[in-house]
Amino acid sequence: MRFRGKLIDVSCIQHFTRVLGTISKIIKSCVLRITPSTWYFILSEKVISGGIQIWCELPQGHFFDEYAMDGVSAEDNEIYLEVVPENLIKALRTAQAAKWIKIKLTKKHAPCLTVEVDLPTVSAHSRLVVHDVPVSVVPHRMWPDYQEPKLPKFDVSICMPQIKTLKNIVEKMKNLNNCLTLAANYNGELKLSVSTDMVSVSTHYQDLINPVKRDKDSDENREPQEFSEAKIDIRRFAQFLSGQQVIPNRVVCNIVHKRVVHFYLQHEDVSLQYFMPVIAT
Amino acid sequence: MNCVIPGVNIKVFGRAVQSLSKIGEELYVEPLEHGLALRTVNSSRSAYACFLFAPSFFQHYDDGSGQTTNGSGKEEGEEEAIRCKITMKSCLTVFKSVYTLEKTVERCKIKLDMTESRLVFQLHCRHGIVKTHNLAFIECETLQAVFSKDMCPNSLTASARLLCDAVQNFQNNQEEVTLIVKPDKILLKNYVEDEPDPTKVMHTELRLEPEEFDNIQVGVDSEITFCLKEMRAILAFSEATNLPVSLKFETAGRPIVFSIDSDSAFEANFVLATLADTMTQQGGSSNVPTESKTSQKRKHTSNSRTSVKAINKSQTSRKETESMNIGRANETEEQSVRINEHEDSFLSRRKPNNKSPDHEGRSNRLNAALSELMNDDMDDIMLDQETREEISKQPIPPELGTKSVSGRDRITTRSPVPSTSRENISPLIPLQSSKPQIFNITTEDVEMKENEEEEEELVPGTPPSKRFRSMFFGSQSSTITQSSQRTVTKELSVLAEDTDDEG
Repeated sequence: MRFRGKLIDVSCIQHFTRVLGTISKIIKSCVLRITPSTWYFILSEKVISGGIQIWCELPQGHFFDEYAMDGVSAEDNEIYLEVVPENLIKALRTAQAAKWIKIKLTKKHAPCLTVEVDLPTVSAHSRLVVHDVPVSVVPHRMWPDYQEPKLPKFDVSICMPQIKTLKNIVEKMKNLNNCLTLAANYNGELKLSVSTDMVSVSTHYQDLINPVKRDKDSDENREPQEFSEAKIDIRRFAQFLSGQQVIPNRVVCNIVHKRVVHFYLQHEDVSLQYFMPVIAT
Repeated sequence: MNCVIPGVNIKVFGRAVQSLSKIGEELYVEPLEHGLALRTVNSSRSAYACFLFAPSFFQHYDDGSGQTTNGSGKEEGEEEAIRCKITMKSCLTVFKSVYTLEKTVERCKIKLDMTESRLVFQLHCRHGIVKTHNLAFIECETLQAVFSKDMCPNSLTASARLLCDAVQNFQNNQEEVTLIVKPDKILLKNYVEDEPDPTKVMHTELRLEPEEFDNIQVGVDSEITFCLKEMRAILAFSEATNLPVSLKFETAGRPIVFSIDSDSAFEANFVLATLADTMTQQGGSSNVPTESKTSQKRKHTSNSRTSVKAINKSQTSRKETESMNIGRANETEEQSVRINEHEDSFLSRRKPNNKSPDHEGRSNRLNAALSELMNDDMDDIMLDQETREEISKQPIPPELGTKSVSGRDRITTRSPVPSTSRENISPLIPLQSSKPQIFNITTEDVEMKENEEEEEELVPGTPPSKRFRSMFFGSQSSTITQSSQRTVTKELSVLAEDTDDEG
């Protein structure tokens, strides 16, 4: 098992840091799957421990100038590591102006992702900072736990409004109750509502885009203006919204009525899928 | 004391206070003939900081010597200015925003108002605005760390920028860093404790090229670990003033001294304890029953052990002991708690050799008691004058007097005359029992009091023993006005070893 990669371009370094920053804000610990073409950050919680599923893809060519890896075997040319994304972020925090960053899989006191940073100095000297981020290797037999989640057939999918405005609203709603009802229809309408015994607050968005047109055949018994809704944990939603450090080109919210809420974020080549557990009503 | 800081220097002064505030909670202010000293020590006594602002730093400087302090009988003839301490918090409010200080303040007056018992900071701002801060203070002893910069085999001088850039790479919650110095390389590493699991912790290592330093001198290869928080405080100051920092150090377990020197206006010294590794632990501590236990508490040893031994052995062995013990490299929380518990009962040092046999005996007991408390892993024993006086009234359990050592009195003193007289009384220590605060007066005590008065008359002619000044991290109160108030009694005096000139 071998991995090394090198980032040189400043914008790549910054973008990489922001993507990792976003991940570190929403997950404490996750699995990093390294394949010859892509880095994946995967969280697949069992239902009993929360049931969040996250699947994030970073095409390596987008970030790395040099990239070399050997997986566990020729046929399974992949590496699965359990990492704490926050540690990676800490290592990258001072590296924003670095001349280059090397990321290597090493065996030191423990298996580590070693982040070597060459920092610019006032004088001509190079200053090398080495961060050893401890990781643990996920054994081959556990790999099936980290497969890409299957997408169900969604009742509705809708492009979300700007994350920032959404965040402000959700932050306010957070003070009212612990759960929020997210509802959308094929008329380009999104509704966020929170209610308590005393008050009921909802925010409506109109004229949003439905990226997928309604399938007339299977949805014949549903009217376009009919809302599909799901109740989610408001704190988790707020955390997801406030963790965004990349302003994604597109954020799609998919809902299976009272069953599944799925967010799909896409920015250039990077994509992130977030399955948020639904609170049964 | 009465001094005026000109507007151009107010920023430096404010930064100094801010830097000190990151280390200790009390600010010791001492006007000296050669400048105003601001000092502090952190709560675990592992870091000490001292700024000395020369008279040339001020527009006007009067250390107040010659003024009579509040005329308490014992202090008559007192020529020294008053020493006091104020809470860091209160002082920080005066210098909270360096930016506004720099923009608005034209001069800052500092004076001691003895009638009101306030230390007064007066900021004369633009447009004739005068802000006056009257800060309550406590008279106290000199706070003095015992260290020597000149003897250190290793020395690095670097621009603040270089060290700041280096330190930035560590996490904010990183407690300690390790500096590894070899002639060809300088490494900074984060110090990872054995617990919880070192394999789960991020390791960061940074290599600095020797050429980047302004000056580098490596006498012995060393690997020292010290607190990052204090180092950041130092760097914040040096970066703000754009002055290079020089680091002087030896090996693990010996203190590292950071100093910043602006040619004539001021100098700053920060002394940080370093962790001692197991290699530097010294054996032969049979007379120190708790040592093995304490030394295993953490794998750090401390100089305290050296000092314990030094005291328990004969004087000559003190030669080996050295100049400074600012404190335990590494107090654990529990240790610092112990310090606090014992503070009241701590005794200051040995007495002069020329004492009567009666005193000799007491000094033995003192030493025994001292060694006992040293076993508590402390070499920086601090106590205040009042405490000592009260302690001296306590009966000493005879079993404490075990070994015989007599040493010169080594208390740091800026006002040698009165304090020496007090030292003569002091050398008694209460039992380190669970109730250290019982003060019964027995006949023995009464006798002692008499003795103390006799000696008081003898001693005033004694010349100040300057060489001790740098030997102790101690404090000595110049007045005894508060001796009746136990509430103000936490003055401190740190013990350190004897020098070889004793032997």
